Amino acid sequence: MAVQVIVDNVSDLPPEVVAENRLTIVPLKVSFGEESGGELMSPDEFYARIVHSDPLPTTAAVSPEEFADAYRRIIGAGDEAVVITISEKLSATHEAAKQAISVAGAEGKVSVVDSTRATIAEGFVAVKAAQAALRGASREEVVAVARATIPRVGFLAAFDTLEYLKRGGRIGAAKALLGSMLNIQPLVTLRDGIVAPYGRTRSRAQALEALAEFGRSFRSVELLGIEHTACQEDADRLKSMLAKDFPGVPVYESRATPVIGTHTGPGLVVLSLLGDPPDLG
Amino acid sequence: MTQSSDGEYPVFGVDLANMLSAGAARIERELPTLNQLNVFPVPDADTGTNMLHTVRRASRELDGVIGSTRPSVDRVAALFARGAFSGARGNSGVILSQILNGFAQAIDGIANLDAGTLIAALRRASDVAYESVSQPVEGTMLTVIRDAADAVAALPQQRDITVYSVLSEATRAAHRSVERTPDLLPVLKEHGVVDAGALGVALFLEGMKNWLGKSCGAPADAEWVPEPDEGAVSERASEPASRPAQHPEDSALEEAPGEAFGYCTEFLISATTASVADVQSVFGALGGSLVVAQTGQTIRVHVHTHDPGAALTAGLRLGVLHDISIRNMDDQHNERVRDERGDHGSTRPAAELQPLGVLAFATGGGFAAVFESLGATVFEIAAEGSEDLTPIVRQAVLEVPAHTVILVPGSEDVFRAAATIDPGDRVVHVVGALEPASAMAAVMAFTYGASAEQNVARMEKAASAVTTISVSDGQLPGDAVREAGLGRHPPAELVTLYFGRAVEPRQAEQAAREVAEALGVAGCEAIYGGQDNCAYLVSIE
Repeated sequence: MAVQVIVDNVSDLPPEVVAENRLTIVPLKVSFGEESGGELMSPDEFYARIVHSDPLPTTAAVSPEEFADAYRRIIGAGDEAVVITISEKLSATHEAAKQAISVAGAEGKVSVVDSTRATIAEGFVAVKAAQAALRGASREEVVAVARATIPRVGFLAAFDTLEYLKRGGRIGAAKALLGSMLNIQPLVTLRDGIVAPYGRTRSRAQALEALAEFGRSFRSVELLGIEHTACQEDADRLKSMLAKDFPGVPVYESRATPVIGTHTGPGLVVLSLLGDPPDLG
Repeated sequence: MTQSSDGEYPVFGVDLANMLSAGAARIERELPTLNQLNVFPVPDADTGTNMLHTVRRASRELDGVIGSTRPSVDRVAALFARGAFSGARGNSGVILSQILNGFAQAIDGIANLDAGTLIAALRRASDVAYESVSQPVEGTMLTVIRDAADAVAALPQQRDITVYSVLSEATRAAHRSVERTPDLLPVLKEHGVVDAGALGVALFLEGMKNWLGKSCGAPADAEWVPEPDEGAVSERASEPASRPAQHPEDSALEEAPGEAFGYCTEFLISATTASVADVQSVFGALGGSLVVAQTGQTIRVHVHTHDPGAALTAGLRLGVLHDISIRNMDDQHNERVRDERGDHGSTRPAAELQPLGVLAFATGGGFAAVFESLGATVFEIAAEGSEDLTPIVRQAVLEVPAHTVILVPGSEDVFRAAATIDPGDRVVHVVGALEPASAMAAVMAFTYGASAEQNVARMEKAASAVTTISVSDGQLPGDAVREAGLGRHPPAELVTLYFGRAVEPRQAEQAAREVAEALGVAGCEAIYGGQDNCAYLVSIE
């Protein structure tokens, strides 16, 4: 009997990392009005469309039924499951994962952990859990590893605009960054599972420098994650800025899922870190 | 401004904007006195702060119009009144907003202000203010605006009557009226003070008059100054001789209507079809000090009640509620008493305080608006440094809703004053940003969730990375930057041009292009700073 780890598609992990760690991905969805399947579009097609699109796309949580199907399949194979979800304060996915346990009759065989994050930062929690599972840890041990990983994960995002976050109702405390009379690049973090303000810069160059500086503030780093929605060059710049600070540290690179992009717009760059974070004082 | 043949100085929209801002600044200068005088309707020492909050919010509405166009006086008055209405705080703030509302109504449709219009506008200001209060009390700001309106209505209707002479008469009448407030309102006489709100109105008129006087070359009048007694209200506890019968705490408590003051409850009701009279009758039964103000379909309600829940429920029946504020006046009063006894209590209940806040001082309306948009608590101060800023800086620190305050002075005067204040129970860190552009960079560098020490270090670093060039009126900004010898080393990363009150935005855009070219950078953002002392401040990071 083994433990399998399920994580939602907001974890933005590169396909090879998903395969290597035998992760099961369940999708949050994106719809343009009546038209579903936005999460499956190519990023280029998707971002070209949201910039000009009216109505704006909407996102939907993973359904309890989809989770239940995954649980039945895993239990049917004689295994157990640990589910890592996007912050329960950002999506109903966590709630659906819990509801699905009784739907599938999987009591005592499935555990659900709120990563309190999204993007690769969430993905790191799933990767650490999966690595423990692959080494033969029990479900309880996998859950303990996932929980212990959460405080080791750092997340900082540079936005072009908070407009998408605001329209999608996910802005949280970061609304403090709205309304600037200067052209600013907002920096946003996740605190207690909700979107929170970190700071502001006046230019993209300063924003990328602030991400790099945040990375350097970690006392040690085991994994780096760099993703973007539709600004590959900025992601590449960030990667080269960090390369000399963290030689030999694996970097997960990816395009953020359209589910994320719906709430952030095309100008998002995210740095995720797994390591020994600084004291925030 | 040019003098026409009959002695009249036409007052344009931009003049009125300056006059109104000067009125606001006049209130600000006497803030401590106004707060200390406050014994009616509730001795909670916030009349000055409430009036200032109201006019400051109103002034901010004008930032967009000054310099951009040639605004008509009616537009300026309407914007100012609208800002005052949205920012109105406390009894005095709401009544002041209605004075401004009446003024704006009376000059609707008028391009330039003349003496006759001003006389009519003061009358309307008085009428609208009275209408907003369900039970008007004499010996307050209502009496002062009415006395001012009466006085100017009685001026002989000669051809040479000017806006300035009308305002001068209004100001004189207002100050005389203030002196009489203790005769009309016994609680004032018992405390040996004049009414704080009343004085605020007189000072506002005085500030407007003085600006106009300066700009049309009128001989300067003496300004109102606090009498030694008024200036020393807060010291009375230690000078029993001046108030032999009573300790201030006891006397203030005697004025309490019944057992306690209750809750100052304020909110806006939007999209309502109710009339002011309807609203007055609904809330009149729920408490005292009722003020109801209306703009379009929005009504502002201010009431002192023991049952704020009932007031909100009644409000909900009339429409959707916004900007709900409920303050426990007993707490405010008790804090005032503690302050008077010399316990340096904070001005807010501790529960409301954030761990960390940023306080920025601005010397121009544009800078103030930008600082505020960045989440700082902002205090606007006059650019010329003649007055002692210590009391203003201390008051500002106590207004920041945070235990630990990072103070960004933006000028050497504030920096010096900040070093001498007693911050009471607050912890104050001062960032060495001594002019507006580096102050801006410092505020921008604030990081949420980091400690005060980490933030101060970051903000100091950001401030010190700024080179500022001040461009005077006659200079070309591109030349000024070149002459400053900056060359292109080290390369400028971010260039910002803050333009002054006298500069048109289109000129500023052009200047920004010249500066960008002179420094060899891709772009330069032009931001309205609103400073008076130079045309442009170029900030190079």
